[in-house]
Amino acid sequence: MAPDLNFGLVLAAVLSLLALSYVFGEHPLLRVMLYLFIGVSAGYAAAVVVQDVLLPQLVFPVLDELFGTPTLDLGELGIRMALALLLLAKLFPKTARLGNPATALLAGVGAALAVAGAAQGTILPQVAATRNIFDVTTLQLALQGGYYLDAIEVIFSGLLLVLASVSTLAYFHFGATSRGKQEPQRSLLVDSLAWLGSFFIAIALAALFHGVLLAALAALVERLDFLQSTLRLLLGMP
Amino acid sequence: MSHGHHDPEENLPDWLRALRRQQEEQAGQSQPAAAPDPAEEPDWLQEIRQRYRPGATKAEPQEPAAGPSEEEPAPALQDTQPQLPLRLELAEEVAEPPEPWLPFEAEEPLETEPVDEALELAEPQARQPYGDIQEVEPAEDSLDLPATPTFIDESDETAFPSTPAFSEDPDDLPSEPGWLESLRPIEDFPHEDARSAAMLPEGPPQEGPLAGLSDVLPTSHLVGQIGKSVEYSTRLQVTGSQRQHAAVLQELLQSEEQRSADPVERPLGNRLLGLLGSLLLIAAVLVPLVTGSQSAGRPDSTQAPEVRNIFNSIDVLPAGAPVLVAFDLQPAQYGEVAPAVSAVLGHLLDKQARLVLLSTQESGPALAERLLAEHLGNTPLVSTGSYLNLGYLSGGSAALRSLTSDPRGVVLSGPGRSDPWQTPALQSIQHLRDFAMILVIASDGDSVRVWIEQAGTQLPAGLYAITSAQAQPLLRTYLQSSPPSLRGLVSGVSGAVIYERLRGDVGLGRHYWDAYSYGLGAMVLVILFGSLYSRLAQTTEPKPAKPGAPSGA
Repeated sequence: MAPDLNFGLVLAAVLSLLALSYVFGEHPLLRVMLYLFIGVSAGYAAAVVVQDVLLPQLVFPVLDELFGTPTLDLGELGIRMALALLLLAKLFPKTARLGNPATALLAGVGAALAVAGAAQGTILPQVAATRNIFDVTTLQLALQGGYYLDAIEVIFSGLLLVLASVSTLAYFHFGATSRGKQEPQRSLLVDSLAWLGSFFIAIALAALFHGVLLAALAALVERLDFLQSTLRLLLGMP
Repeated sequence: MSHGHHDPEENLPDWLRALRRQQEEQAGQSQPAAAPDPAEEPDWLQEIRQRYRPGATKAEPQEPAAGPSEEEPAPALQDTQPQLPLRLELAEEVAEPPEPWLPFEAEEPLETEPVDEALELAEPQARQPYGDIQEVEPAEDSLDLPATPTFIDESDETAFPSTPAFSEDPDDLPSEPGWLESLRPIEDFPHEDARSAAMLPEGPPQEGPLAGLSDVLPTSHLVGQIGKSVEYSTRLQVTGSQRQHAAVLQELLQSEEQRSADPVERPLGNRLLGLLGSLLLIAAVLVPLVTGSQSAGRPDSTQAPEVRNIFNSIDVLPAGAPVLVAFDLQPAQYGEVAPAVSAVLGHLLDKQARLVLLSTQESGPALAERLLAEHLGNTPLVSTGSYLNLGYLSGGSAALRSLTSDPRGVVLSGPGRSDPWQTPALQSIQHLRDFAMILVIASDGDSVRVWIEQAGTQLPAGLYAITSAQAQPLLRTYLQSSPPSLRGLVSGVSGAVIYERLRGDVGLGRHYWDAYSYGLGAMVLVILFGSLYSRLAQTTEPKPAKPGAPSGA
């Protein structure tokens, strides 16, 4: 659906051109655009928090309680009010210590959820997945059917995964033993595996960088498409 | 001519002799009264007097039958003496001009000298409190010395014998001068008297309205305390370690200022190369967009089974199935994710799924509305508003865990403060697993990971995700976990193109695909030539001369 030409569209096109003008280096208009983006983002986030969090979850229940139409239990409302006031005390240096219990509650609950969630959702499923690192079923079928190349591929991929996992873990093993007056050194086996692990780490980082480049390129494609379509609208072209 | 002993009194006139006799008689009448007989004093007063007598110790009590002592009472016990004569004595002492104290005894009377010269003369002697002061060279020699005194450079052990600060052997101690002996405090006095320091008898005050009276509070101290306010230093009390930290911090700040003030000037070749690369990339992207080219080949769905998983799961959804769409998207990734989101949500809308939108990002609800209106506004469910936007869910991971266990207990705000759980889309929802599908649209892998860790373990059907391309390497591990925490994934423009191909549709992904492909090729070329140029520039750059190497003439 082609957008209608309006002020917002033209403003967005101008700001996009300012962002792309970074090709020619920094200039004051680029900084103005950055400040505008940061300010609008922060202001919008604050407005959303007030409208969707503070008003419906704190202010409106208090007003309902005052006008005799309670929508929340009085105890729950009291707890909300107390925690909010304690957090508000963090704004002032003299009363900042009063906000520590509410902050500690937030940090403690967050840490507990993160640890439990990481164990249940990340570590255990991925450790369990290593049981299938050698696809035994596929290997048996390949051997029975005479597909020896496929069988070799299964074995090779399994070995590669094992080698990559062990060598990457060895790279982050910093234990060393000292012999006599010599400096502490890692064992030869761990040192060799760590050297090999550095290659796999480089490949992983390259994959991440590749993803970032693809994301940037996709964003560039979308902005240039927006600019050319806006220009068509301005010029009255189909 | 011999001069015999001549008494000057003999030459006085008679009137002067008479006047002197009269003064002597008056002085004789005003002599202090004899000290009271100690034998007539009570025992307790004798005990106190004995205790405070100089040289008396507690271990050696004096014999009570001892006769009257001829020694002068200790200054601390002068309050036991009659007061009037003492007052007169003090008055005479005050009237007499104080004799100038000299650290050595001059054989001849000293002439009056300027104060500065006297201080210079006294300084060397002040450095040796117990030395033989008679062997000191005349101080006048030091007046002609240069800035550095000779007593520092030419210190002689004979002239300035070193004396240890403390010696346990009393024989090693040199004899103390009389003035120092008089200043030495009495050892037993502070230990025996329980009175406060302000009340200790230290003699009657010699000035002020209480002059001559004993056992009174020292008024001079009080006046001094009243008149002089306590001054607090305004300087910071910092330690040496804190000074070092402050110096390091100051150095860091200065280096930052210098860096910003003196930006590194890039060589002209690098700037030209960067400009050329940018123009090449923009041209490679812009030309296909303007021309509407669709010549680049699209990727096959067999290369992305995770995309096929999502397609298959949506394809079997019954009509009217509730689908929760978590729109945790940042505005920066909107343009990249929009093709994939429009393809998947278009498929859901074709299946007449009841969309329930939710976001843990502040900007998520607005972006969701914009995307639906911009790319899917023509579909009947969107144009009629048959979807539910629950808005922003605050609280992060804690809110997600609460939403998983008790969705109705989580307060979700919607426009107009209406209860969203009374709408037809949510009437059948009691738990999060009651949704037919949960689709997470996120900018990065962390948002999806939080959903997997907090909610994925409670969902037997698992989660599905649409993300930016930069999140794909991180999320691939969840696709291959056992059981898979993530059932399906569409990432980036390539995922959108694969999904459109599965649906047999030509959408926004296909529109972007040529520009994306040619732009990717241009990017590879820019990186390749940029690396080659950088390598060549390094090899042709003259190496800096090693420090200490001989420079050519």
